[in-house]
Amino acid sequence: MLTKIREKSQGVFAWVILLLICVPFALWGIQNYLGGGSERPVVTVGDKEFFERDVNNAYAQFAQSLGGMNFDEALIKKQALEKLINDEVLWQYVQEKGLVITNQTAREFVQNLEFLQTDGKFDKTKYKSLLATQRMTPAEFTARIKKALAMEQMQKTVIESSFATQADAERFFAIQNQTRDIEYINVPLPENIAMPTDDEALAYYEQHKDQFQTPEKVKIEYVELSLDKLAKQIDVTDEELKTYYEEHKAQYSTPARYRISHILFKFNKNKSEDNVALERALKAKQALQQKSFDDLAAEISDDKLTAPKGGDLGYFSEGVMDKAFEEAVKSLKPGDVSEPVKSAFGYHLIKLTELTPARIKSFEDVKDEVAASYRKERAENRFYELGELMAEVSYENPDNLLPIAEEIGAEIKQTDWFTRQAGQGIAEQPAVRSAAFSEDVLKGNNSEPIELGNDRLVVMRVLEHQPAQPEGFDAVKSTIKAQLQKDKARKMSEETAQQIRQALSQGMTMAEVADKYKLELHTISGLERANAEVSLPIKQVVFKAAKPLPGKPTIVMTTDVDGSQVVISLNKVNPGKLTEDDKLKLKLAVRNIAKAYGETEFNAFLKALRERTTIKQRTD
Amino acid sequence: MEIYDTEEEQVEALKRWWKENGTSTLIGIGLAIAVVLGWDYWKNYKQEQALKASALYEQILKRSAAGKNSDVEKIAAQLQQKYASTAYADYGQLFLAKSQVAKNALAEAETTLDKLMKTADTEISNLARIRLVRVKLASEKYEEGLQLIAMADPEVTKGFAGIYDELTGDLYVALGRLAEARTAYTSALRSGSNSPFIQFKLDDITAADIVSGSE
Repeated sequence: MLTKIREKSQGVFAWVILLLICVPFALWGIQNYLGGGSERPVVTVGDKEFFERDVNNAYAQFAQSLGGMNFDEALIKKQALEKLINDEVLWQYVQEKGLVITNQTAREFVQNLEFLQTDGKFDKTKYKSLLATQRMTPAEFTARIKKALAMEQMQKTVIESSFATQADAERFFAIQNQTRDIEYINVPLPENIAMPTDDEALAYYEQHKDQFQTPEKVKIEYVELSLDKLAKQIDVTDEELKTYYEEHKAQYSTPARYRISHILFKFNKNKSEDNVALERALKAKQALQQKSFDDLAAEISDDKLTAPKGGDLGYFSEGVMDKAFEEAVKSLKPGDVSEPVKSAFGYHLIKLTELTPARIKSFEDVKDEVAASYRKERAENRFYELGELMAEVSYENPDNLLPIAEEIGAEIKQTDWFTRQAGQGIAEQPAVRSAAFSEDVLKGNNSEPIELGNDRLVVMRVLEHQPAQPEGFDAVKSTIKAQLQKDKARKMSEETAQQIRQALSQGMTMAEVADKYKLELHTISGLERANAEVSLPIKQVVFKAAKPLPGKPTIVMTTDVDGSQVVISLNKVNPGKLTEDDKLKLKLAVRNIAKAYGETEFNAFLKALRERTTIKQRTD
Repeated sequence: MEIYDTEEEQVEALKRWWKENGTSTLIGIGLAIAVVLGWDYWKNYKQEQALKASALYEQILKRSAAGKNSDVEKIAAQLQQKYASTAYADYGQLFLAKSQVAKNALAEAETTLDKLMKTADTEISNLARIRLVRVKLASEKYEEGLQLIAMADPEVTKGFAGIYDELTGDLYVALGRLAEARTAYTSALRSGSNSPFIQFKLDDITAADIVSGSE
């Protein structure tokens, strides 16, 4: 019992943080706190036992990582269990091989976590408050990080050491860039098909009753904790706001804007000849005494895109170009031209054509904005506290929302009916719908606190639940009739297509058949996979078809998107060549293929580890 | 046991006993202490070695991601020389092979992977074999590739079967033996391998006699 309450109160935020730092759940909570004496493990991996709550935790975490998307609960549970097992076999392997993580590596990792930083720097207060909310000592936390990193080290060992050869990439493009010559005839769906009778529709209805059901529906009541609302309740003084404004001045100012032009002197491919570019740049700088910058740019700049516009690069944003480039721009006065500046591309002469100086907005101007941010920041702490409280109170009173509502000072609201697929108001949120239809909530319990974004938390319970119900014939009659009509049309199109195919197999040509059936013959030579004019079903079947023998085209059929039939003759396959573009991209392609190989290999690697580990699953 | 009448006799007996057994007792105690200390020292030493190797290996991961292959090769050699007893030495060799392939030194990559295949643990040895076959494929040594796969013990390649099947398919395609390639790819698909290329390659060699009518 103790552990359960403890786990509950560690609650949602623990998961989110965990997700972010990818600490495998196996470590979470105090394992086997109760000794597990009376409880049978759900799964045993090697000599490690996992109990119901471990598996539930893994499930909750996994579901959270899917962002509350509405998937099959049973399926997610299964996947979560698979992940739990995979993580454990990997961890056991990592220990067996003696992989270890140094303090320094762990420290670097923690200090680079964005959510532990303020203005890009590691923030010790944030770190301490994280530990406090997790009720962890630094040593425990470090141990967890090290475990996760050691597992990651092994994963990288398999995935990132994988490679693809040039030959692999070439073989890939030989298939990917292959083109195929085809002819095809589309047999459209006949129009003017008689509308089916009521009797026909009824017969269909009787046979397919299970298809015609109203969806399952629920109504819920809920309590919502919202950061915005908390923020509004916070009182502020002008003094506080002024201090906050001073601390965050950068946010309330517009940075300077620079408009620049440049002349580029590209490096040669051979890096050792960097000096050539530099000399050209220096010469050009001198030439500026006779010529205007615009003209010179048009004549000699290697940046062919901007050269005709006098080298104009438009407004310059910080952080895009190299440091040196940026510094050079900032030191210029309007109209000045810089000395040659080196970047990754080559040497640049830069001219500052326009400068709007930085402007700081006064406190009075932005007071409202400041107040809003300040309130929000203050409200955040309160939000986290109340969130934990919500989880605790909800767990202690699982059959009732009143205590929570009182505790956090919010009212209980109700929704209208909604289904698994769609809802209004708060039920628009997939996470809400998914929780409302979860086993536990349908049973009549309070849900866990559900996170909506970073700033809202909801606990709900079901008010009314309406299971799926059969729909009456009258409600679906017209749908059925339209469906039957379409089926009939499709069948007729199929019959014609079969006749055409037969005629082809008896030696008629596509042109002759098209003529006979008064249908249009489409001819495409060099059809590419990426062709956007030919419909997907046709392309799929064409690129799956056997390669034709000389004089013996391959005939295939398919159903087009509108339900009409298509008869296709594949006449020729043209082997794929590497285009100039591909050659440039070859390096990238090799890297992408290597990554795919690596992932397949890691998958197999885990499978192999599982093969050699004794894994027992309870089967009830 | 003897019964002693007086204290003197007892002391005498003790002295006698000490004379006979004292040295060996001291040696025994000394040895025990040495073993405990030695074991401790050995464990610490091992841990130190592992930590040092891990730190070096992290450098390989970083440099490899940045494409700095000459650095990768240097560090891999260091790991091999100084920390051969750690798992990191083998992992370094995997990256060495990758770097050799990147500069198209296929023969060197073959040597690296061949050695690793023969010496590393089961899982790493499988990875080395798979990658060695990939290099054979690139060097047009198709028969050798097939042989490497045939030589692997199915007990040992468990879990990797899908990848071996896919490679078998690739080798057969290269040899123009399409029927065998089809069987291999189909078997790879059935093994549940998550390689994205299998269906793509299989579709390219559809047999002519199969009438691919379809919906």
